[in-house]
Formats: sequence, C-alpha cells, structure tokens
Amino acid sequence: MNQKIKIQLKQITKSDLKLLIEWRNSNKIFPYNTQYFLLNSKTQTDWFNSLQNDSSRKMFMILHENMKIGICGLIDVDHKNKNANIAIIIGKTQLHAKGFGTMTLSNLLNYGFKKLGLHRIGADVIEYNKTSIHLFEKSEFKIDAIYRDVIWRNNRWWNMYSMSILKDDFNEI
Amino acid sequence: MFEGKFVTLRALEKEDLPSLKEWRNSLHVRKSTREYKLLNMINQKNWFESIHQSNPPKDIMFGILNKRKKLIGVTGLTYIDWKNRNSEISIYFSTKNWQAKHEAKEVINLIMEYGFEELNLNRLYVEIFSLMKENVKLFKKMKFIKEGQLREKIWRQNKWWDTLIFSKLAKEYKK
Repeated sequence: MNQKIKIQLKQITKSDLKLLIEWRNSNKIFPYNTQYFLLNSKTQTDWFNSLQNDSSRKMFMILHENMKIGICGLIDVDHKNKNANIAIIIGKTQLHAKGFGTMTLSNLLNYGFKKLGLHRIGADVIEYNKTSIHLFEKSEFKIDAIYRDVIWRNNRWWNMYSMSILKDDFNEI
Repeated sequence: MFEGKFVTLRALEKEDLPSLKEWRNSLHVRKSTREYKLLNMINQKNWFESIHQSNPPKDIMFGILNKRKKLIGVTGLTYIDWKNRNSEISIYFSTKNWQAKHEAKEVINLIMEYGFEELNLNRLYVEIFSLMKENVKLFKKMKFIKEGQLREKIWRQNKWWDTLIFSKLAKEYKK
C-alpha cells in the first residue's frame, strides 16, 4: 500500500448526484455492481433522499486533493448484530490500481470498527471482479462463502464471494 | 392450494396473524429467525400489508395446514430476486422439534416444486444460525449444498454465532 496517498471522506450532497450517475452507468463500473438498470436523475434523487434518515447506510464521497474520485460507505448496517457490508466505487477509473481502493477500505474499516463499534464487516463480490477480491484479501478479509450461480450477467451464471473481516483481525491505520 | 400427503399450503389471511404473532414470539421460532423484538399486532399488520405491496412480489407466503385443515405453520419464499431468479426459503411451525417430522420435509418439497417448477427460479437458499442444529440436519437431508459459513454474524444467547448458507440449484432439483 502506498501510505502517502491522502484521501478524505465527505458527506454526499445533491450536487454530487450527476457525477454518481456518470460513474455508475459507465462501462468500467456498471458490470461490477449488482445494479442491473441504468440510473437516471430520478433514481438518484430518490436514493439520495432515502439515505437521509436511514441508519443502515452510511455513504461518503471520496476526495483526493479536493477532487471527487469516488463513493464509498457501509451498507446493510445491522446495529443489533454489529455487522455491515462494504461498498466502494472509484469513479475516476484512471486512478484504478493506484492504492485508492486500499486506502478507502482502510478508512471505512476504521470508521466501522472504531466509530460504529461493529464486530464484523463483510463484502459481497462477483467472482469476475478479481481486483476487488484481491483487495479484500490483502486487507485480511476471508472468504466465508461462495454463493453459487447467484448472478446472471453476460448470458451466464456467476458465483458471488461473500468475504468478511472480524474486529479482532483488524489492524488500525 | 398445494396439496401433499401430510400437509396443504394455502394463502395466508389476515385472520391468521394472531396465531403467527404468537408463534413468532415463542422461543423456538425466535431463536431461528432474524427478528429480535417481540412482535405485536401493529408489526404483524404492517408486515402483512408490506408483502402485498410489490408486483411481482418479493415475498410469497403460505399457511401450512395439516390433514385436519388446522393451521400448523408458515412457509414461503422471501427476498425473491426475479432478475437473478434467486430466493430464500422461510419455514417455521407452531410447535418445536418440527424439523424431524414428515411434514417438514414435505413442506420443503412443495416449496421447491413451486419455486423451481412454477416460478422458474434458479437457486433457493437458506441462512441457518449455527445454534439451530436441527435445521442444518434437515436441509442436509434435503440435499441442499453448504456454500459456506458467515463468521460471527449474529449475537444470540450472550455470544457470537456463525450463519450457514445452504442452497439448491434448479439443475440439482429432482422431484
């Protein structure tokens, strides 16, 4: 990991929605999400509004040198069982494979374990998303389960890896 | 109505909700389901409304009747994902130790028949808390395949428990 990379997590505002639509609908990102329809300003505005009073989703914009480079967060936050899932999109795809994902993940783990007091953080990844599987493994995630034939994409079935890290295995940044 | 040798599945009605509430609040059901609050009739009515909201439905629930037409349990398909043709199976009975009975196996067979043969689903799964050994045994017996174990995912009885994922694919389903 490149320790010199500096990122900040900031609140999402309505003015970010256009950028999010552009990222999420792009060919480099769309295939890696389970979302299967293209987003428009209506779906994004509804999503943004639904976030506001929802304690099960904590979403942030990722900033690097004041530039918005992606979106991330904890979803499916289960406060009772202290469990949540990771979501990360590095929207500026020219910044892929430069350590921004790793840095974002480590920020989110810190936030989840230290601030929210979670016990377990999971991530569900489609099997062809090798980069993400590698990223999570590098950060001490283990593969808990492989859901068989659970996603239909590109005219065939794909498995989904369900990965997780427990609080005890988390090394602070 | 889906009829088997021991049980019949019928649609749930509003009148069933008081019984369901009582069963879901009983210890043997509570320790196997994600719900951790005690349910009241407001919860039950809201739930009943909510499962009728979407079209196509996300949840399809049935009452289980025994030979004497008495309601003895509830089953259904939940979290139905029509795009990826995937769904979770839900099942519980009014009394405990139901897992070893003929009725339980027949209910799962009827729900698989409905899910695979009628709805053309591709994968049916269950998430079982590791404290529910009886359920693990039942789904193994029904030839569901274990896909893995989500570590320390739930807190019950003063400790962490794993949850086990079992599934059956359409290509593995035999009548």
